[in-house]
Amino acid sequence: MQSRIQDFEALDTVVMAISVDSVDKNREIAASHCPDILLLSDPGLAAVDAYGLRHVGAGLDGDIARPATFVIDRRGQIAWRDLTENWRVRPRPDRILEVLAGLEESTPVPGLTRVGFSGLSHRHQRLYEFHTQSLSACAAEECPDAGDHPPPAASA
Amino acid sequence: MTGKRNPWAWLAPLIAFAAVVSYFLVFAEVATLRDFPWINLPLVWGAIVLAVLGLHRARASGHGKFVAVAGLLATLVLAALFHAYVFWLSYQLPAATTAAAVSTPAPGFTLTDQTGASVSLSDYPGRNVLIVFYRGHW
Repeated sequence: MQSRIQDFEALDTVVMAISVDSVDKNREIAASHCPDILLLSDPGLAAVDAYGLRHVGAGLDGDIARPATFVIDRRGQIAWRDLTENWRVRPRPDRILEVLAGLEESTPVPGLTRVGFSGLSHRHQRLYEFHTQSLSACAAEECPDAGDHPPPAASA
Repeated sequence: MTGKRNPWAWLAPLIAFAAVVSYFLVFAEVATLRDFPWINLPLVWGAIVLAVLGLHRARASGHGKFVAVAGLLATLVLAALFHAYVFWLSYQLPAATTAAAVSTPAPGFTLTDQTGASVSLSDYPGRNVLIVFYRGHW
């Protein structure tokens, strides 16, 4: 995922990885492999149990997480999950980015319109809050006047 | 043929060992090669062929049969362990029946990240979150 971190950021996605490894171990791994991913230490298996992923006896001296991948949407719902049958096989970043892009298409963020922001800085993207409805995907009953309100001109 | 050196007897298990170790240390970093050991499995099979060749030569020359047999056994054991890992052990995961389901609220949590900072799922309202659970590096 680290190699595609900018693609995840472009889709406004925070990337987290959870295991029973200690904070020290995670610090080593982050330094050498994935500085932009939040490596979360869960030795007590609190999050692992919350997501129902405990693998009893699989660790050297205890339980660990069963490998799994979850995509959580902007509303805090689990939008997609992958529970691999084989711990060597994990979903590819491309597949997950597809899922995230699909979420962006189908879940308009209230108050924001879907306008290409290429060239604008991240700060400017955040400054623009358009009050027109998204034209691409919202249901007619949510935005009966879609199309009647063109977005204001984006000035740099 | 008589007196000709027969390196395969000890080279074969060495190649098998290198093939197995390199899967974990090198090739597993590449997704396609981790999903299925396209390079390492053939290397292991090649090592078995070389070990058999080594045994054949040893029997033909009358020298070094013990080493050749030991080399073949070592190669076969390494190959068997690797096959067991690839085709059986890595499938030993619990059934997914208890895992959190799609279209349900994502369970919250508060954990410590690599810098020692506390991170909660609720720290990122309105953003997408990708969570990768993994076995760890123990």
